Formats: sequence, structure tokens, C-alpha cells
Amino acid sequence: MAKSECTDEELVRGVLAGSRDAASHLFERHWEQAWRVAYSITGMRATADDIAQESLVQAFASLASFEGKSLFSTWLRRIIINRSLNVLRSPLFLPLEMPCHEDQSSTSDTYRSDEATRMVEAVRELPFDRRVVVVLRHWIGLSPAEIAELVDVPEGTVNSRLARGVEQLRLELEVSA
Amino acid sequence: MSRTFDVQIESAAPLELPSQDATHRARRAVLDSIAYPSRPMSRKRGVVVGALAGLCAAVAITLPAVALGTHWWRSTTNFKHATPAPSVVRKQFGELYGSAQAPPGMDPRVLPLATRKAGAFDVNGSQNVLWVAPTSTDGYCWVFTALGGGCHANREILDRGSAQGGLRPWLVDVSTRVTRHGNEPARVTSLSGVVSDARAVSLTVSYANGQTTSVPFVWVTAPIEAGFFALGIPESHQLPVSRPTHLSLYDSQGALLAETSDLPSPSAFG
Repeated sequence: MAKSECTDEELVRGVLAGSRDAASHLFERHWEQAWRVAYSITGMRATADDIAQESLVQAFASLASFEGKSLFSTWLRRIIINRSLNVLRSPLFLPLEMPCHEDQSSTSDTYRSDEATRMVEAVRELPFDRRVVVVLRHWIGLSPAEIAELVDVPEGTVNSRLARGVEQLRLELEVSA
Repeated sequence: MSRTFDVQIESAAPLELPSQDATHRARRAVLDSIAYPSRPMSRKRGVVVGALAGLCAAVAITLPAVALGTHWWRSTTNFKHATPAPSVVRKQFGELYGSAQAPPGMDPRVLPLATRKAGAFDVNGSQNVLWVAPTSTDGYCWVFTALGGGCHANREILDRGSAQGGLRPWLVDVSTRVTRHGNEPARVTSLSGVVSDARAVSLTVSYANGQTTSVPFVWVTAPIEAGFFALGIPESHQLPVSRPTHLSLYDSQGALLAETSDLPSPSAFG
């Protein structure tokens, strides 16, 4: 069977058996999504590069502890989100890199409408607590219960931060329209 | 909240992709970690490394405490024992001050891999970490997390003689941060910068209403050999009538080493 047809779980078993080929396929399958999750949370390319790389190294190094209770992609995403939040909260973190929403020098050639651009700007400017829940809910697709567990607050707090964050976005976009 | 607006947020999700360079580096790091798994440290080696780490921590903690005991306004960070910057900071330091960003002939030749944490300053309730890195030409670059920074690419600043009535204002390099909300008058909210005289043990800020207060600063040892300060200005001194006017640097005998020219009034910023 070609590696591209293997499930993640089969590739994980291959990596654990010492297959560099399986590791390479697993990396190719998840790298872009991993990077995008880190970038969505941090808004900074160089920071996302570091977080995604270190998360994948950590995930591959601890594959033996991956029990298969969830999908590999879910497990990896959790590692990346935790690392991203830890980096942003760290007193050592130096946000010298300006958050960017429309990186002209990036490899992306996608066109974004003015509306989407304003939305990204508004999300980036939300206070940290609200920004995190809005990004995790609307850009990464987590449920309030999953977010509550990741950021270690009650689900009700997640819902209220989410409601306030979305309301703030709506008001700011009305004003800037 | 309307479902339409939720969809609007979701459709703005970032579409950027990682660069080829980042992808290549990550692939290599991941595959290398598989090919050469790290071995658990032996118990004996672990004890030695642990003891050394403890010793280093003790040195790092003790030096500022001793210095503080002598001159409470000046603390000392031993650069060689200071915490190395994480990779994201080193990278950003390189991008900020690296050759690619410098105008022709003005490359400070910073050594970003040597960046270290030299201190932390509370400025108006938020912590500002000070990062410093040497340059290859006997100078240094610095950044305060939220206040910015700069470079003294070499030590030419020390050789300017004693012009301007002996006040040598260049030995205190100060940046003023001014903020303005709506139609309110501009306010000076912080001062940050560098002192370049090793004899300095006291730095003071004087205000337009005649008051003077001490400014704590951290002296960073070789190869940096400079002092750094970041000061939040209290509300009572943010407006022009009582604004900071100048900084003065003194030695241990109380002799004036340097004094800045008049700092700009916040009203000069519009």
C-alpha cells in the first residue's frame, strides 16, 4: 500500500518501528495545518514557524505515549495550541514581530476581501483573553468545552468571553465600515 | 448573535502558508529527532548537571543582590550568566538589527545568537523584559519588550571629549514615549535608555515642577558594559507643566558625570 493511502495510525506505527519514510509522510500530511493553527493564534510568521516546528518535534518524540484515544491530528493540534498559548503568555516572549494579516511577502497568493482584512485586523486587536477564544472557536473550530479545557477556565467563562469578543468585533466593524 | 456574523468571522480565517524555508527546517528537525533519539541522562551525569545548574542560578541571583546591597539604585547583571534568549527572540533580534535591515554603512553587526535576558522593568504596571546582544565591533544592541531599543555599534560614544560644558549628554541615551487619547493633551508616559559610564551608580530624573526622583538601572557586564533603564512616568508628571525635563548621572561620590539636554515636552508631539 502506498504511504499516501495509509491512515495516520498506520504511519504512527511505522514511525515507532523506525521508518523514516513513514515519519516523512506523517510530517508532510500535518505540517501546513500545524503551522496554520500556530499562525492563527499568534498572527506572527516567525513565531508560528518556531511553534509548529517545536510542536512536531515534541509530538514525534512522544509518539510512544500516543494512545490512539483520539485522532493523531487532534492530539497534535492540542500540543500546538498549548505551546502557542504558553509562548504568548511567557514573560520571555518578545513580540518584536508585528502581527500580520496580509503578509505581502508570504507564499500565499490568496485574495482577501476588504471585509475579511478588516475582520482579521479587528480580531488581532481584541484583548488577549477574548482573542484566544474567538480564534479557537471560529478559526480553529473547537467547541466551547474543548476551549474551556485548554485555557483552564469554566465553559461559562468561555461563552461570555466569546460573546463579548464577537460583540466587540461587530461594533468595531460597524464603526470602521 | 447573528449566524451571519459568525460565518463572516470564520471566513476571515488566515489562509497564509508556511514558507518553503520554514518547511524545510521543520522537516529536517523532525526527521533528525527520529533518526537520533535523545538518550536518557545517566543518574550520575544528571546530578552533576543539576548541581551546576543550581550553582549558576545561585550566581545569577546573588550578584544583583550583592550589588543592590551596595547601591540600591544600580543592580548588576552578569551577562555571561544571564538567561540566553529563546530562539524566537534571537531570530527577531536578528531580523530587527541584522544586516538586511540596515542602511548602507550602518549595519551594527549584531550577534543575535548571543542575545540574553538582562533584566525586567515594571513600566506602568506591565513588565518589560530587557534583551541585549553584543555586536562584532565591541558595541551592543538592546530592546525593551514594549518600548523598543537601539544599538551602539561601537564605543565611539565614549570618546567624544567634554564638550557642552562638561555635561556629556551623550552618555545618557534616552527615548521618550508619548501617548495621546482623542483630543486630550499628549502625555509623556515612559522614559527608557542607556547609560554609558561605568562609574555611574545613580541616575535621577528631574521634573519641570522642581521634583527629582531616582531611576533604578541595571548595569550589564562585559561584553556589554552599559546600564539600562526603563521608567514609567506617574500620572502627576505626564503633562507639560510637571513633565520630566532631564536625566542626571552621578558617580559614587555624588559627582555629576553626565546630564541630558532638555527632554522634549509632550506638547511638541502635537
